[in-house]
Amino acid sequence: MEHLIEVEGLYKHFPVKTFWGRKKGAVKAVDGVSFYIDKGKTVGLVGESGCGKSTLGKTIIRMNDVTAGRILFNGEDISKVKGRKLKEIHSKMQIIFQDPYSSLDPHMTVKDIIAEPLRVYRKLSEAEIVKEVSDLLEQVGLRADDMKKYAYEFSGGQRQRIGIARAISVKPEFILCDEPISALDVSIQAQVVNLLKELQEKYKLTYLFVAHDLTMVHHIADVIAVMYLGKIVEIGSSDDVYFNPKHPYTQALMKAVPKIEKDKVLDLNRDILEGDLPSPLDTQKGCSFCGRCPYAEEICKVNVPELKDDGTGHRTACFMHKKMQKNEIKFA
Amino acid sequence: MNRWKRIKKAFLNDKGAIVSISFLILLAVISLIAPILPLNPNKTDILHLLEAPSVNHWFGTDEVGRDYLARIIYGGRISLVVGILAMVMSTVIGVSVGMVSGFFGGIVDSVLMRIVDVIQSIPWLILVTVVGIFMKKGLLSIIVVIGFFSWMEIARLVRAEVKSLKERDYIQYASFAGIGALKVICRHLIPAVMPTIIVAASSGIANAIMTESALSFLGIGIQEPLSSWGKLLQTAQSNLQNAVYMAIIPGFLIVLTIFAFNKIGNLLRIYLEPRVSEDLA
Repeated sequence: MEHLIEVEGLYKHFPVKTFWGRKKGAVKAVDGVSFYIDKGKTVGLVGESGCGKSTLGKTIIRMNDVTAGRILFNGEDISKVKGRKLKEIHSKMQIIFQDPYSSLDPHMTVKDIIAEPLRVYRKLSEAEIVKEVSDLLEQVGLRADDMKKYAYEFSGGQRQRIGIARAISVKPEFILCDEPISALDVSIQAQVVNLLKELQEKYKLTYLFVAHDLTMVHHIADVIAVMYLGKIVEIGSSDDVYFNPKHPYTQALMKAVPKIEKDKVLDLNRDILEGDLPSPLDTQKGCSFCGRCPYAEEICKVNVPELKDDGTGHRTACFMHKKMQKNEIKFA
Repeated sequence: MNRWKRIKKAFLNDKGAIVSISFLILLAVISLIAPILPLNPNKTDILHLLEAPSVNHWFGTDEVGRDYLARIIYGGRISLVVGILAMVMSTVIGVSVGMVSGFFGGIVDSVLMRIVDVIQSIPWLILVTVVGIFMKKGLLSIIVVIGFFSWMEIARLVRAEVKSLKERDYIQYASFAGIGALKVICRHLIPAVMPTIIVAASSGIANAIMTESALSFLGIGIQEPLSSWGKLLQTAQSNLQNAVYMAIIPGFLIVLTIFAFNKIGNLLRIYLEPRVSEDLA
């Protein structure tokens, strides 16, 4: 399988400056991430708020500058491209935003919103644009004459469809879905996810799907990557990670998903992870999760665990993992 | 287009707005046709000094016997021209500076904002007086002086708004999609800050009219035989005991004009906000 995107040791640090402009430290939003995305596949990226998953996505599509590392897109390093070349890359990599309200200009008609990237990348006449936009609107399940309306006349789910139409208008190869469903009603979420899947089949799209809802990610993704404090702590096929989580953090995330069991009242408070994400400003020795990990031992506080393959392509960054397998530690 | 229809509807439903617009249109028409009216603002008549309003002189006469109605009409022309042109000038400078400052940020922002701080830290009356003394006296220099020293407020407002708009996803997307800075400003930012600009501009007219009055009062504004409402108000002071109408009429007109501009600006601001226009219509 051909890799569409390959990320190698990617870092994205935001400098924090003092009042006098001297550098005080850095927010390590993305701190050494390596993974790849196969052509036509979906990688789901999960993690709690503030762990850097959106930043990672936006850095990959070069909405942000890269601090260090390489991003290969179709085998070509795009981590440092600028100007016209970057513009060209952006026509092949698009984004769908989380907030359907701030992602569409309230002063523009739907036609102008969707045609915005079209006008930049393809030289079309006004009549061709109208034809293209009505075609796109129908593909995302809206009506062609909706193009004369303003964005505020639509509901959240419909607005997200407009955002999707805008993203696919330039026929991209890769789309970053930056939590596209977290702001929507549950009943609408499935519709949007199914629309994304439909479009993926039709146009052979590749997705990086950022979310914090594990069930939904399991449904749409082929590969799930779990992020914690700027690092990927576990990555593997969707079923492996969902049904057989290995990293204590992933296990805690899974337990936090309420499950419906027959004739049982569930105690939602059991085994909930305590504490908060440590500040990405602090430089911490050892595993970034060890402060909250119920299994942490001495080694976790000193060394940083690397991602280790278990032989099936399911990789975990945890020292305690071997011990857990040998049943030296029992999971709750 | 249906947004403009809604604005029209809102205006027609608001009695204050109808009165304001009618009043301003009346003022504009009278100012425009003033030269063809049988009125001469400079003709003196020493036999009829400080006469109260009558059939011959609807607004009475002033201290050298000039027809006060003609003085008021010609004074209104000056006041309106000064108000509108100074407003246009300060709005153009203020919006440009604020837009550039907020959009580009960094050093450009720091330098521009420090310039604003410096100009704003000097009491404007002293500034305007000093500059007014050095410049050639006349209508144009008054407009330039007022326009050039009243844009800082607008610049700050626009800058603050642009800084927050810049973080919105749709602005970020526009830059991401390879749209140039100038196009992003014209297509996305100007429409978004329009409500703020309109309010600032409408109060800008009012302020310019008042500033002009103050300058005329100090003797560095409009020069005789030209007149403006502010100038008339100043002259009226010395005759307050004999001819109260000389102060009341221009004062009343200044208040009404400022009120009308503010009323319309306020209504426009509300109805240019797309979501609000939806809710209220």
